[in-house]
Amino acid sequence: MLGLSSATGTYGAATLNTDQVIDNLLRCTAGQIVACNVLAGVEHRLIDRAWVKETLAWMGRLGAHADYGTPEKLADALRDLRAGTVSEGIDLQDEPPDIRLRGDKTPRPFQVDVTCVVPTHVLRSILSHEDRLRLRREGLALPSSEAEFIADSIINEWRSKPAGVRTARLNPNESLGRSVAWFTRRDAFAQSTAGTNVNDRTREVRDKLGLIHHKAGTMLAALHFPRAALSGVASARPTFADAAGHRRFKTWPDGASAQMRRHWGTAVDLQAFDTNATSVDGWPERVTKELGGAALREGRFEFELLGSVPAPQGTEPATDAAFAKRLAGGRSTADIAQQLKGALTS
Amino acid sequence: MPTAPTFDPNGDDTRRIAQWFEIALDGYFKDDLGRWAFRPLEQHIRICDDLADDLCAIYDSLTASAQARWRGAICDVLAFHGRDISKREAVRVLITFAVLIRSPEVLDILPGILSGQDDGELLDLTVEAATALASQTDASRKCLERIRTSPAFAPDYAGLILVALCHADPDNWLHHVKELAVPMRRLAALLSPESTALRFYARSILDAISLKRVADVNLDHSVSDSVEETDWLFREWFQDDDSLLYLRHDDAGFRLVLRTDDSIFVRLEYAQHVAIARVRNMGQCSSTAIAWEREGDRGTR
Repeated sequence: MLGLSSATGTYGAATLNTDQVIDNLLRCTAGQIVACNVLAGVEHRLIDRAWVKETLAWMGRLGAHADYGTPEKLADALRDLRAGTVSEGIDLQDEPPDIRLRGDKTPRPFQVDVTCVVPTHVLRSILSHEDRLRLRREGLALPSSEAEFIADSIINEWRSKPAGVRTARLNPNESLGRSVAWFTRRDAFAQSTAGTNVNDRTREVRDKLGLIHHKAGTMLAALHFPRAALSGVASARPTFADAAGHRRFKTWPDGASAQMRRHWGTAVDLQAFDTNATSVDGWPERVTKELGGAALREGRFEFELLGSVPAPQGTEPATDAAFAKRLAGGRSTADIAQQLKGALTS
Repeated sequence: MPTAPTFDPNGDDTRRIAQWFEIALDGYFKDDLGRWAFRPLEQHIRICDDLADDLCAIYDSLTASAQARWRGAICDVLAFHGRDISKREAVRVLITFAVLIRSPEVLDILPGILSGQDDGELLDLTVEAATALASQTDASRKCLERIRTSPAFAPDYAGLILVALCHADPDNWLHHVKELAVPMRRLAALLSPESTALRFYARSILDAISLKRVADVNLDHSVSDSVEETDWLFREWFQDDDSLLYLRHDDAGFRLVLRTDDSIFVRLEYAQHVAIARVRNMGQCSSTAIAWEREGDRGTR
């Protein structure tokens, strides 16, 4: 079972080799989640081994620096490689590779209509000024939290509006997502949220998409994109590198139907995980690089205000350590280290 | 690289925290340093959806006294750089951050960063923040009134500001309705014929002030000389088939409160409820029933 303490790993001025990177990652919970997802990706042939080795090698180069000198900080190196912003004190001499969208051999445009769920303040920031003004005139505020006095009444007002009111142009000078943007299938979103009340619906969306980083009270909105609107945008099945330390990312789904869906990843259903369900499969998911500029310039996009994330009720939310344990599936950190090293050298 | 390596988020004073914000936001937006701009708190910058969310996560981990200093620092930075167009992204993040942590202190600063030369973005940000943070405090009322009287104010925001003012200062709701009468007329002219915005504002005002305050207003003195200023609101409240306020017919007596040229406002009291109604034709009004302007299935109540 997982249980190695977060003891000092192998750090120093020298670059860490791949084995050392793996060993050090497995000394912290965040790193265990990363390592388990790397292993699952390799085992199920979802990611290219050479690319995994290259990415781990870059983590090893960063791991020689004090800014990445603990297991937790080494795990954070993925975030910097994903964002292209490694610590400014490091002279890497050559440019790190772009590690995003490596879950498909050839990233491709969406084949279906998709939906992106974001906090309302993010949606508001990417609306065109003209449409924001139009919504202001209509009194259609986009409250950021349930604490705002108008939050309750505005949700019903939004829902009463015809779809035409809930469309807007986006501001091409802004971007959706930071480094990457996450999408689910619109048909999955629409089916699963039909007929539920506001609170249940927001909870379901948050849970089914594994959005653990949105705390209770945060107001969420959904932004819908017809596939034609994103025809020039490459997307891919998400990998550990796209997730970059997200605390509820899972490479390989539990259910057979989700496993068959090779081009879509599957989000972790937070409620299913918290209740220790057999399957924690949430909704399908794919990623793009952050969307901005030309991708946002054309057309009007439909959006909807969902509601605020409810406070946890009943079951205590499970911990990151419990999630790492679930990913490990009964294997010890030593087992995972051995299997991952073996998978990368075989 | 200009950083504040000895920065202590829990121990430093407001001035130091403000300096840290300035350096960090410059590093993030101008020097493209990513999370490293926020040393020594870079591990908290998760870079998920918005930088303001990451700052909230840091804020949540602070002691209460440190949180107060952080709120003060946000105000200091906004007061100094709020109008600086080159720092617009940073200003947006700070205002969003202030709203997310529900900082009442920022209400004192928001109107000051507006200028008549604004491109509309700052007005949008400040109205949004001031309405989001509206509460029944003097600071909230003053902030909203200063925005309303700013040269940068635009009628597009009249409805939102009015609703927020009624929430912040419900006892003086009628004063605010009158003060915003002209912008509301301009706003109404901008709305499409299908728009239900005025109805929404009327309902939101009612929610904000409660029915009792509507009934308690001395309409003899406060409305009779300004019917035009309040007309849109009373029309939404009392008129039309689906008017927001209506009466059931019961044994209670109705008291006439006001009559203007062709209209009557009546205060109606029944059971535990009071309401005000407006009647167009005095002849249709009796002590037991109100004949409404519109005939038909709702003709007499």
